[in-house]
Amino acid sequence: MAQTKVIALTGNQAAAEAMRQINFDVAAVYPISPQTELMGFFAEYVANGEVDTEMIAVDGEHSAMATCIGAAAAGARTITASAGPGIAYMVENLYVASGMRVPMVLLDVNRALSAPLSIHCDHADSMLTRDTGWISIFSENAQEAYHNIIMSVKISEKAMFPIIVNYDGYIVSHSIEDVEILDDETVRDFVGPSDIHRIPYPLLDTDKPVTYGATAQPDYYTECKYQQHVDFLKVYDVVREVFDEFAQIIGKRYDFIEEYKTEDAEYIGISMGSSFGTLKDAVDRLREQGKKVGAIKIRLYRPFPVKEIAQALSKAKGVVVLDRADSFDGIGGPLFKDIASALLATENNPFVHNFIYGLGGREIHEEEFMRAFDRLERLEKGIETRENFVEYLQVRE
Amino acid sequence: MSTATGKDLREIRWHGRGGQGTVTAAKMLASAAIIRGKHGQAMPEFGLERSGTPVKVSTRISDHIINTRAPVDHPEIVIITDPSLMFTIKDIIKSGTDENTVFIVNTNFPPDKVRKILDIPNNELWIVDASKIALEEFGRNIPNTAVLGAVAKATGIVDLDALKQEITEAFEASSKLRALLPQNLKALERGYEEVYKAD
Repeated sequence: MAQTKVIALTGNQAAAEAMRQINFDVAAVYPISPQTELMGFFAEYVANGEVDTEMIAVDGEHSAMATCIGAAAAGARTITASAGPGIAYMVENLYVASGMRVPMVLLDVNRALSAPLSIHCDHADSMLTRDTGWISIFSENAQEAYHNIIMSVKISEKAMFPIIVNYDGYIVSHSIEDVEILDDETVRDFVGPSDIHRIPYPLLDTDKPVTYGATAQPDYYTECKYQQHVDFLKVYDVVREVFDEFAQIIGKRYDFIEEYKTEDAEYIGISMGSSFGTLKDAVDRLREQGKKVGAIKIRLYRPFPVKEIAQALSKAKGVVVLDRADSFDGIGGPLFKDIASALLATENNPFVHNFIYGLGGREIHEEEFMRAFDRLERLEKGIETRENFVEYLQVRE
Repeated sequence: MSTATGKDLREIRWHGRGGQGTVTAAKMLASAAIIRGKHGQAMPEFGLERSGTPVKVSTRISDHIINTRAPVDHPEIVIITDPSLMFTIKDIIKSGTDENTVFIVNTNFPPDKVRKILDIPNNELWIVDASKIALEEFGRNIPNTAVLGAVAKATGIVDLDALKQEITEAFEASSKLRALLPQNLKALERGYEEVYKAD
């Protein structure tokens, strides 16, 4: 077990601390709330000479990702961060990064998308990245953001896929909490030295020249995508290995999902990010009333933990999926469709309902989650009926 | 793992105006508790980030892990760092409070007037003229450190030494604030000494 100290940090401060300890080779930076402050903190470390990072100020998020792709292909340990519309502007290049198989870290300080303009938290930005071939991990709080960033470097480099670490804008990024920080040496030992040969085909290895980003005609494009597809399925094992290794350091093991009081639960709520703590408190209050309820948090979002979800829901009567983004597609939120798909992997056929909540920073209270469970139970028992799979949890009509 | 509920959980809500250090004070209170080995949380509710607009911040302190990320709806303690808010957003300030809620107000009004404006005839009420302290000590109406001293005295939620340590670390880390550390430590102590409990 490593030396640790507990200090008060915001999510952005904790993320900057992880970046300092990892000592990235390259960071591309472009400001957007609520991420701006994060790179502001990190810029101080750069200015003070506490890191060796080449910090590159770019002219937009599309360029930020292009810069990172070049740096990562060269063999540099690379990071950038953004939020909301910045992620949207990056998306074209996110596909390039995963298709080229360059490892790097992207911090998404989750923010809503316009219009109307909102700088506040929801997961619409991250949902734009869900089909881009990036690994994606969600953090409940500053502690998890800090741990996830440290683990993400290793996951990305072992899997040879880029990775996104999500944490909720303002609710996590700008709130203070107690965070247990590892000592610098432990973090640097864990991620290992940044030699360009830690990845198989560094562009700067001039003895073995390679081409990145070539054209593929119809006779080979499918094979390239198939290789990407097959290798992405191997990410599960990589993440599991890195979680195991990190558990040796922090004395606590992270899993793809976190289950709370699900063992005997008839009704289970599922969420991602900062709302999970509030969901757990809602479960506790319903348990006091004798309701058999539980909760699941998705930590690893891409690749989606299909088997773990199917197992965790194998006895549930009803499931309520809590989406912090809408898909506007007549089906339901993005997480709802993921969960519905994962249920194909179990014989159990629970009743599944979907609520949209927390859009554009709308605060969420445990009473609202209790209401979501109540609606689920009434629907499952046939006391109430629904017109659609998806409903809004908090709305003034 | 046991989580924060019931009496162990201290829930505080701050009402101030942007630019007066209310968010910083709320964070410092949580940080000082964390220095003492407790769990702490401070969550600002950002509207438009502009000087002078009302700011609401939640602070939670507990011996156990704090799960919830909801804002504090039923505060045990309400802290008002800008007296003018008592007139403009009284309903927001009073929301979720009852006769057991403790109020700590930065004002030069006499207690009777505060009780009347807020309509809190029987609540525990503490008054501190933190703006006066701030103006006297460093010439700017940034009353947050004096208010923190008052909060320590009125609630015992954290001790004065933990706050001193937190303020010292925060000010010394900033090249802009470093020179103002002695004056702010003085303001903290004066807030602690000069706050009084209303009849």
